[in-house]
Amino acid sequence: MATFALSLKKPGVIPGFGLTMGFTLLYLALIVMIPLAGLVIKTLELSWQEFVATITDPRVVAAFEISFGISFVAALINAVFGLLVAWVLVRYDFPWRKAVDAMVDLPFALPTAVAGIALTAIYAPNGWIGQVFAKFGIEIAFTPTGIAIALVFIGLPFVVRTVEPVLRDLDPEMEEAAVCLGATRLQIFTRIILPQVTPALMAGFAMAFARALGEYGSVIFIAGNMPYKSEIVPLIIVIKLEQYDYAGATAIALVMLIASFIMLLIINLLMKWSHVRRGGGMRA
Amino acid sequence: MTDYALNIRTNHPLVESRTVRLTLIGAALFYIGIMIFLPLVIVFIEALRQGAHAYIDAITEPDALAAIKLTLLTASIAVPLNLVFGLAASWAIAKHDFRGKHLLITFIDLPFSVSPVISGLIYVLLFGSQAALGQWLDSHNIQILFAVPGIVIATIFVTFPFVAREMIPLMQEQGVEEEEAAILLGATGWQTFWRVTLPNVKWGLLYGVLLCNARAMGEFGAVSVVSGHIRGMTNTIPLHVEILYNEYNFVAAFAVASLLTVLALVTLLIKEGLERRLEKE
Amino acid sequence: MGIRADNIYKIFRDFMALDGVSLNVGTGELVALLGPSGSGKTTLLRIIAGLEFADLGEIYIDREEASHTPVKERRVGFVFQHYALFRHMTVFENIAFGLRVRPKESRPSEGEIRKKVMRLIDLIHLSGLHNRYPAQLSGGQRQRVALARTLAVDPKVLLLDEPFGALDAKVRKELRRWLRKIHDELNITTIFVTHDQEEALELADRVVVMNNGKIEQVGSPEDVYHNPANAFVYDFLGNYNAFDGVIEENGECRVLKNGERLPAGRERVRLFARPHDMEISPQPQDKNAIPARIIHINPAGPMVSIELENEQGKLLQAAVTKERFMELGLEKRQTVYLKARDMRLFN
Ligand SMILES: Nc1ncnc2c1ncn2[C@@H]1O[C@H](COP(=O)(O)OP(=O)(O)OP(=O)(O)O)[C@@H](O)[C@H]1O
Ligand SMILES: [Mg+2]
Repeated sequence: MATFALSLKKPGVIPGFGLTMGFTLLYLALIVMIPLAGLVIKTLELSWQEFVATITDPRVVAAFEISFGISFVAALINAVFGLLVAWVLVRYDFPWRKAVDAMVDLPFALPTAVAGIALTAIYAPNGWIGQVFAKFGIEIAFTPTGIAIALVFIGLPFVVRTVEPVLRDLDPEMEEAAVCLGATRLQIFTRIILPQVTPALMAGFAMAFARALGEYGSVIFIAGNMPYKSEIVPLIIVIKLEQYDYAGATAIALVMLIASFIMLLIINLLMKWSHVRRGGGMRA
Repeated sequence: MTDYALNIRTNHPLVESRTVRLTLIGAALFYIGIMIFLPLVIVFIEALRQGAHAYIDAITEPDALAAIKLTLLTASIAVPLNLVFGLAASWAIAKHDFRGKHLLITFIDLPFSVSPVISGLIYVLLFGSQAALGQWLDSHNIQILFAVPGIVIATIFVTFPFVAREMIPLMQEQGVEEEEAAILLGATGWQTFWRVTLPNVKWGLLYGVLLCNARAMGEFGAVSVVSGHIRGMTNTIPLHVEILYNEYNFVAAFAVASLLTVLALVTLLIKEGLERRLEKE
Repeated sequence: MGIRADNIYKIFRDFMALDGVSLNVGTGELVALLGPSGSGKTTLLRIIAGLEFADLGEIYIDREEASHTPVKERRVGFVFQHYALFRHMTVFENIAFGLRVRPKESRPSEGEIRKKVMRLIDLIHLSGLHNRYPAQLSGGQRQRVALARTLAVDPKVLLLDEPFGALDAKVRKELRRWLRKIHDELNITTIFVTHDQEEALELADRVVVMNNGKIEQVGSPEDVYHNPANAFVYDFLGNYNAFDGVIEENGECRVLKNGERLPAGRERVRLFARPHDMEISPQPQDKNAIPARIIHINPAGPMVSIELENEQGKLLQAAVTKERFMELGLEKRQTVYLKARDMRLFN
């Protein structure tokens, strides 16, 4: 494998390519590629009819709808508030700004199970926020709303962290030029700032969405896990596994895997677009 | 130009009016407060609901100690392996030119975009008793699934990209000139790495290792699928939290969860420190 | 449409960027703001535009006190040193921006916008490139788009911050002439910043020389060049040689000779002479001639410039015409005598 890579290598004086590349490919193959390939091979054991039957089972379809729908809503909420948080962190100075900035990363560092039980404790009918809503007869935990809250939590840093550097790098002179040309603050935001931030915003949205699709730990505690109502796709996979229905679990997993690859592709394209949009590397 | 203080003149052409500023800051603080700060606080409040005694009991109970031990063991295997991988991969990718680089980086990033549940599933399919490899392992009395090795492997998978992804952009940014100079001055590849490359990227490396470690200790979905949930045997801290919670033993669940929360906070704190340090340099 | 700045002070934290600047620019004038880096040129321009606020003093645009007029109502065209083109908009959209953001009542129709923008694109010689993005243009083209964008909103005054700073020498010269032409056509009151003295002297009706947040001199190019108000202006507008000198009893200035003591009761003064005012001769012209050794000859350019070293090893510069150079037959390492035709004394 190392020699194969070597033949693709362009000349350079720095040594160690064969060794490090060999190890990289070997490790990548053993840990990631072979097991993932195993999943694809496993689905091939299923006939087309079985495959279709598995993924069109009403309970599975409902789970797909819930997973995709709520992930989308959660990512949308994160896009709006993520932009707001990024804007405030970059543009304004206020007490505790540094602390708030650091806190944004918490969902990256906090184990999802902990997030799950903490959010449940807050939004359960007897929880701090849950009881306020309970008075009005609104249930949050153990409903799709609860799922949305968990997915908002785990997706929160993505939009902030993709939009923040773009906002920071915006050329203040561009805004000054616009104001000299007579634009109002709102016009500057919608016509100058937003268009330049949009690709990054969409990339952040896509990342939050992709992450939400696969999320398991934080959701299962708060979701209530009622079939057809608040069951997410990863949970269906786990249930199938517990019933030793490996083929069914694999079929659903394959669909999810394909969805995440498509998301990955979209994210990559959006990041490239973001770069171009901001005037980087596009010459005639 | 970017940090407009709260008390800046309101008629500055590039700053929103004070009202707008205060509203936006208020909204952002409210959002972060309710989405992030509150969950953080609730963990400790719930954990200490029945006092320090119950708290200490919960985290020193044998099953909890077993879970802590297993988590530490898992991280102590997964993190160093991924560290070595991360260094090798970033050296190969950042310091050399070859075709297919982008594809390779995409593959390395793959585990990030795979659902944790699927990360567990692929090993069930590989090592389960229904698979050829699983049967062969069974016949040789080697237990991987629903045992410690399975947990370790699944953890390696989910934490696979952390170090590499932190190191590759950093090492690319550093360029290759210093390494080339070192080689031309007669240093070996190993000396060059140890004395030229590593000092330049050590803080980024530490950050990558920290994140890798936090995730390794906190992973839930993947580990849950491969572990088998055997109390005192194949339960990591997050799984133990789940069991306690499902048994309605909330205080104990939050007490054990608070350990992971402290770990997350320490990780963030060190990250902040590292970033300040990087800014200074 | 004149501009008047009245005793402007600007302090950044503890740094005095503008230290009592007063300036009067008449309608239709083209004024150059000349000064070294950090002298406060940009700051002054930004205060006039309303992008920055003076700590003290007033700005009048068109005889109206403008300190409290918001930028967007000042009708000031500002061209930035790095153009600040909108990167996500085409050339056309960039130029049309100022028209499109007008309130509905005063916004021209789409057709009018198109006509006006196309006319401006013609004016800046970029016909056919209106669909390009800024990243697809050369520096000089971007500069012209930036100017057209400001002209589109019919500004009352035009402020240009080092408009040609980022361009190479040839394009600079071209654009300089072009700017002069446009100014003569449109006759907009214009202030442009530069730290290139040649540019200022060639282009402007009047030159304002700034240093350390203060205005050192205001005058016509001829005036500032030939009658610099002080040593700073003299220094800034060209190369020079400086000598220790003394004022004789009859009021004449004289360079002190090597090792000569200052005559009792006289004051030591600094005397300055431009390289082209230095006369070179193989023999001493008179008793005050300065002996020096030629260390370098640069014959490129309209004049031959010669570097010399006097007896104390101090560097001196002289410039002679090609003919004179041939006539004298000067060579490196030769010892010659220097005498200043014209010298200046500043107190
Ligand atoms: N926002 C600011 N904060 C602090 N100091 C500033 C700020 N803007 C300008 N200054 C300082 O004020 C002084 C004048 O700056 P200004 O930009 O006006 O100089 P300039 O004459 O335009 O120089 P250059 O030719 O380099 O553009 C400089 O010393 C600069 O450091
Ligand atoms: Mg300037």
